[in-house]
Amino acid sequence: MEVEAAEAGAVEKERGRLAGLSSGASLSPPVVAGLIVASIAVALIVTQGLQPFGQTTVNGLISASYFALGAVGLTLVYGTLKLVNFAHGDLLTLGAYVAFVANVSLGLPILLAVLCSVAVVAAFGVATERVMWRPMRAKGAGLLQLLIMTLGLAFVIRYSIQLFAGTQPRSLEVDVTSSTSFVGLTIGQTQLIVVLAGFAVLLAVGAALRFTSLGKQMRALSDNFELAEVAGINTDRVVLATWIFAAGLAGLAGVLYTSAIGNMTPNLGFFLLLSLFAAVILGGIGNAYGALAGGVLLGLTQEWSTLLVDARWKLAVGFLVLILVLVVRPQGLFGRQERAL
Amino acid sequence: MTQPVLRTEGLVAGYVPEVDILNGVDVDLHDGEIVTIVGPNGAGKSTLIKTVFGLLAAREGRVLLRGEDIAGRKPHDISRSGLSYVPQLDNVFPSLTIEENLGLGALARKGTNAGERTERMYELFPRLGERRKQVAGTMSGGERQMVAMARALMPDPEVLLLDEPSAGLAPAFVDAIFEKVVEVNEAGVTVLMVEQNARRALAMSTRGYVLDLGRNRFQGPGGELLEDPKVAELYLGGGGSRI
Ligand SMILES: Nc1ncnc2c1ncn2[C@@H]1O[C@H](COP(=O)(O)OP(=O)(O)OP(=O)(O)O)[C@@H](O)[C@H]1O
Ligand SMILES: [Mg+2]
Repeated sequence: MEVEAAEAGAVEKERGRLAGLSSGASLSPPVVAGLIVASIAVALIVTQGLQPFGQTTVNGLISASYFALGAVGLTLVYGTLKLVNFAHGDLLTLGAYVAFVANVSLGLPILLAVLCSVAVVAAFGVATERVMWRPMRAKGAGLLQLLIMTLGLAFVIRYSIQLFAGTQPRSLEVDVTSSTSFVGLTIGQTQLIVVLAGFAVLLAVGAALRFTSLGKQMRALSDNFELAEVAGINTDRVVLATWIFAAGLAGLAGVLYTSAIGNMTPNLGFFLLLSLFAAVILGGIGNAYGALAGGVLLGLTQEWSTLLVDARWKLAVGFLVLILVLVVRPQGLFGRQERAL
Repeated sequence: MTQPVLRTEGLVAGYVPEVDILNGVDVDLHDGEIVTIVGPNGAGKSTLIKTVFGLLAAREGRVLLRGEDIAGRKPHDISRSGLSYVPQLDNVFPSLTIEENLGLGALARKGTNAGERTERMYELFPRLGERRKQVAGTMSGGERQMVAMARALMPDPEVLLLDEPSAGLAPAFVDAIFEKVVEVNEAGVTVLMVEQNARRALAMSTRGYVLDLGRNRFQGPGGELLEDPKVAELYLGGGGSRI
């Protein structure tokens, strides 16, 4: 009798455990990732102290703002047109240099210079669509041809900028010396503006994708181009809007980057490109929310890692995290493994 | 006889140059009908619907919507003139929620009251209403078929083109989907559908066509096609009486 009761109890417990497990497994991956990040944060606070953690978090948020804004355009262009755009990093460079011309050469206020950047890079994105990508798609160009073309375009942009501006570092007329301190954390005045502006735009982008009709149409195209056309979406129009959106944000990210680190060289976008791809893949390629989240995650991870290892390693740590995530979840955080019908 | 709402005349189309998949297909669809197209795999059934909807260029022949030739128009444009299409595969937006999937369907026709139509779709498919915030990619095959159908019905189309709505579904879902097709038709939507479940589909159809190698082979009222021994032997998998 007693034995039976004990057995029944054990079975009950086992059932409970299984139920717990399965409800754990049904948590969405972004939530799990959030929980893991939160526990790492707690561990770092306990072992490294609150102040260093806070300072690296601030630094992480600075890189997060330009990673995320750069990555979201890269992912949308890939999702919508299946174009792996190696020239996307150089759109950030273009943005930085347009701001330089407007701000330093023409003496416009920085805010106007930022608007110039966004407008010029967006127009450039549209031009590449009209002159290169649309005709190539119409001719049925393969993935590889398109890829080589984006690489070529990347070089053309970079060396054109170098031709006109030279290779010496240049700076915008922003205040890079004064800084603000609060609760023991230091952040440059310009960097503070970069973070605030970056995250404001990031939230606006997220909201626009989620709630506006155009945002839904962009995500729809990214999911299934042909179905979007069939469902009554004017895909040509949405593709153009995607380019404006993607390139404009790249221009902005370029200005934010150069403002935050204090200078620019014609290679800046090329060096950022790998991180942008990492953010995109981390979030699930083609998924816009994923790119935003991936950018933030990558920025934080890279800076947090400087608490444990030398700062030189931060790029490598970022990619280590990328590899770990992909081993567990090949489709990235927000990506979906297609269910077979 | 009245003018058909949709008609193809001598339609020729294909994917690669020089290779025609459709070799002159004539199909008529009249107001209020359910017309089913059956035929072996690779006969060109999906190709026919894609050509009607402008996803594939017609090489010869015409596609007439109420007498007006729509061949050469883009799909998003065609979906604005009262025609809706549910593809055979990949017919939902997987990363979008049910609600967003339906909302996009409303774009096909200006002045569609998306909120009202969405509620109407939740009445028609209560299961979707329960899961409106779930992303479509995580739904079962049958549920996805419902999402796809609901999306296509959002703009309140006159004509619904369905490509194998019951493909790959469990028997319970097949029944449910066919019931919905009849319900939608009774509400006034003319239906042109392709089906592998040929017997069941023909039994509920006003008329049917048998397509083979991109050509019309047989046509007639659904019941007659079912009883035609040649059709049964060649296309419906035997008479079903012996063995
Ligand atoms: N995208 C494509 N490119 C090239 N050929 C294609 C393409 N899609 C279909 N075909 C060819 O066209 C022919 C007809 O295909 P279709 O999909 O219309 O057949 P179906 O009658 O719908 O068959 P099923 O019952 O298997 O769905 C097939 O030989 C197929 O291989
Ligand atoms: Mg087919």
